[in-house]
Amino acid sequence: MKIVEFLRNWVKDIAIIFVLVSIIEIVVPNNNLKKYVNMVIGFLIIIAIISPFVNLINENYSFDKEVFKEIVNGIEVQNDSNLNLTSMQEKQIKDVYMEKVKEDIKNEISESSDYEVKNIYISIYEDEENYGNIKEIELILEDDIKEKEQQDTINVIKIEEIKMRSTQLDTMELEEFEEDEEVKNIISEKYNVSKENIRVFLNTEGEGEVDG
Amino acid sequence: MEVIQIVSIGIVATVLVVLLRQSNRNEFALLVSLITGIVIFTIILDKIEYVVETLNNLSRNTNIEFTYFSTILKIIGIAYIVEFGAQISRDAGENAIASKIELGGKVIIMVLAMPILLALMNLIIKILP
Repeated sequence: MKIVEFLRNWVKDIAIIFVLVSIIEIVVPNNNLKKYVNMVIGFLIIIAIISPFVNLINENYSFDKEVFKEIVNGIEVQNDSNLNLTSMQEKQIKDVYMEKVKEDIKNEISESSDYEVKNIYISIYEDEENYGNIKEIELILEDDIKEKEQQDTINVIKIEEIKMRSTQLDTMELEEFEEDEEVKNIISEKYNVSKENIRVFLNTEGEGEVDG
Repeated sequence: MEVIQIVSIGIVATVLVVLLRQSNRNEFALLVSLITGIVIFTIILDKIEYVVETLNNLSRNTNIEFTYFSTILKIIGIAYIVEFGAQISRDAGENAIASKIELGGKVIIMVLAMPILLALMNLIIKILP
């Protein structure tokens, strides 16, 4: 708004000055002093045109600064009221990202191996440097039952030890899965995660059903 | 009505001056023309005041310094007065004195214009980065 005010004053000044000058030009006597009067009037007109800009420079006023100040103010106001919203938004972005990665891994594994993914747990780095890189992957696999029925073979899976997973996994019986190298290779190649950080488990419930 | 007053005074004075010149009374002719000029100027003084006042009010509405505008009014006044004096001198046949009066007027106008000139130069220097 300050810009509009400035331009308005400037144009008003110029208009008034020119009206005055045209009146004065009539009044000036027609002798050889007229050219001196004209010179002084010319000075006055130049002053009227230039002086607003000098005021701007003296006040360190610049259009750009003014415009950016307005924008920054707007953003700050928004931030103040929406601080919670920003963190919520970050969380949502993270969730969506992890969802996408899980989907991707599922597709990859079901295409390139005999197993179907039942559950995935992913944790990602949240520090500045490698934000979004995958820290750990936990896979819970199931044998692809359809495939098995077609082939009518039973995969023998060695059982080394049985781990009870805590919390949400405790209803499932899970085995540390030995033939996981194939799956681990696929994942570690694609997502650049070291193999130690990939854990693969096999859900034995499905096998039991097949056996029975 | 002032117009009729002014014109009639002017015509009467002209007739007087012509008569005086024909009777070789040039000094009185000069005085008559001088007095005529002063009288006419006195008559129009009110009108001039009104005009100048209006112009002043107009110029106060601008952001330009009022002194510049009053300087221009002063310069116009000087131009009129110098013209008045110079023409009387020319009428009396003293062209040399008339041009001296004009020279004085020019110098004083330049002196009055100097502050405006300086202000303009300052502006230009300030506006340069």
